[in-house]
Amino acid sequence: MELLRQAQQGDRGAYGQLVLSYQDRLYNAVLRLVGDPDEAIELTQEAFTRGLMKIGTYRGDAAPYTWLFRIAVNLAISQLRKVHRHRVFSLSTAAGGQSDEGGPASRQTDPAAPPPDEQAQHRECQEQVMAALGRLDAEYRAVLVMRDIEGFDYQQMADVLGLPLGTLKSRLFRARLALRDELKAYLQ
Amino acid sequence: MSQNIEHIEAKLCAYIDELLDENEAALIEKYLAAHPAERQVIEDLKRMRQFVQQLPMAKAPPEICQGLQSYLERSLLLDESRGAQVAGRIVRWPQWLAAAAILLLGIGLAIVVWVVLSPPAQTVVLAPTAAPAEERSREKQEKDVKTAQVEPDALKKELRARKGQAPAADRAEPVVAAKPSPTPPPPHKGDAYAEQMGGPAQWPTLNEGAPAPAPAGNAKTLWIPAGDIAQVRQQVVALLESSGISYSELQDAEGWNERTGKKDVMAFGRTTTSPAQERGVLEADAGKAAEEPARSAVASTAPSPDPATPASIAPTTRPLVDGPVVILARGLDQRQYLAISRALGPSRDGLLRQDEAKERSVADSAGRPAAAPWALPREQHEMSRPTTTMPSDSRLVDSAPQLGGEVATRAARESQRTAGGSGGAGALTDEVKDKLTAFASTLPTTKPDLTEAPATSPAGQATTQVAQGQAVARVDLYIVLQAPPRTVLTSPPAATAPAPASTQP
Repeated sequence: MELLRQAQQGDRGAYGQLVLSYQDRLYNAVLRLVGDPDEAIELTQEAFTRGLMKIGTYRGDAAPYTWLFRIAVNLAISQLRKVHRHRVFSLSTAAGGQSDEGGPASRQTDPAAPPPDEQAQHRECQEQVMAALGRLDAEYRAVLVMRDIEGFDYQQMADVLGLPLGTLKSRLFRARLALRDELKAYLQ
Repeated sequence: MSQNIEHIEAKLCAYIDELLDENEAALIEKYLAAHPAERQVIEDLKRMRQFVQQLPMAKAPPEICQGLQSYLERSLLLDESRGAQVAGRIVRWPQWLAAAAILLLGIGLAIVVWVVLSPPAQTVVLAPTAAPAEERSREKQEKDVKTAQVEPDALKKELRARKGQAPAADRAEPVVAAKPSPTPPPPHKGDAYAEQMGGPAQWPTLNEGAPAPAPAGNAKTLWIPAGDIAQVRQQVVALLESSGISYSELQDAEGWNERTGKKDVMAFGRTTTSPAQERGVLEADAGKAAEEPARSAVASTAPSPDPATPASIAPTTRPLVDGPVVILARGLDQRQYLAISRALGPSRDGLLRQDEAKERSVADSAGRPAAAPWALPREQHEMSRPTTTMPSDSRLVDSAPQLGGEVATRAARESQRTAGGSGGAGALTDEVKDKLTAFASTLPTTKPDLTEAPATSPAGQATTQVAQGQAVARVDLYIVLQAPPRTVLTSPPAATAPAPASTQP
């Protein structure tokens, strides 16, 4: 919050620190929304850029990350609506590409790591979930990412998406049902 | 129904996220225990939640920071370039300002040119230039009174016409606002007169019912400032009547301006006074004058040597009108026009005073109104016929005093002839004849030769040469009798015209 106040006063170094603090989290959320790493990078940069341009409109009624995430989600949803197609999430990005987990080295050095067959099964599960997530509507994808990945509470999600609380909960329930329908074959 | 479903879905969502309190959670578990299918769905949804939560955390690539850094640098450069653009922007307002200034200058120049080149309202002094010193002083006083605003174009045309047609008449011709009108004057032609008189421009249809003007005639205006309009009007009428000139009189009959809807002193109705009616008025006035024995005796025996005395210029007729009077004399040839304009010119008052005593004496003795002092000779009457060429032996007496003397003589002769012919009430007695003979002997007998170059008469009036056979255009003369507008005559004019009575023994 203090960094954003300093950035509002023209301290671009403070805004740079905000970028460094939130870029991974924001990029991950955008990536789960759009499914394409390059597009996620562009949208993340655009979100930070717009945050810098609109930094004067920040009133402090929300957390800085919530404010930036709202910008990013709106950009992502607009982009998804503009494309009008279901994203085919690549399997290579299912694990996040540069994820901290799942690397061969870590597996070799981590004695508590599960056995390889379980790791393969888990990786396959992630890929299936990512593929199913990519086939959902943007609104369902957004609530799932915000709730299950970003960990927002219902009120934050309602504020970001501009929805009533009951509607948001109902939409989240239906998004999970849709994801279940997408993964029904895999689950069976 | 949909709200109920949404409410149930919200409760189930909160149950999956384990955000319900124990009571609500117990109710749902109790329901799910009774319904295994729904319980399986809820279990699947819980697994979906776990699957999404187990998705790996992606790490932001360094391109984001690099791109943002480049954006910040670019934004800095753009800000500077924006400042440069603002500094180098083509500013339009000086151009607009210059255009506005040019426009204003043009308008101002046009106004100045219009003001400078437009002829201002000119003041015409109704006085001849060649006048003796004693006349000059009197005329100088009259200049203050006899001023008129003449329409500039009409004045220019009139001056041009004078130079081209009658050069000798330039100095001697008084007055006059001339308005060339090859066509009959329009109904509101008198606007110029009204403007000259300082009144509103509302004139009636001057030509309604009037005889058609001469085809090639001009309309000229003779403006006569007169203190006593009735007296001057009577004299003018007598002059016209004695000259055989047809006229019509326009006077303030209605006084109602239909255009402005106000009482308008300059609004003229049209009334026509026939010569017979006018003669009756004059005779009645002459009868009234005869009832004053003392005055008549003085007038018949010894006319007042001072024509400026109030007794000598006292009105002999009742005032006929109070306002301005316009007398329209139509179809005047140039000689008649010049004679009338000279007779009614600046020396008019002097003539009146000079000849009034003679006229009065003749009128009293003859029992009829005497001929007007400006009456034209018989030849002029003959020439008033609508001809375009003048007879070769025509002579115009345009010197007012001489004209007055000659007319007085002729009036006496006419009176004698009329009395002898009719033998009626107007027959002259021997005493009157003697008086007339004695009076006529005192009058100047020489007449100026008008066929020669312009000369200056003893009274200061310039004579006019009229070429033989010269084509004369007919003139419609508007004689306007009006009190001097906006000017006050502080002192009565000192009439110093030579009085014929002074030569009388």
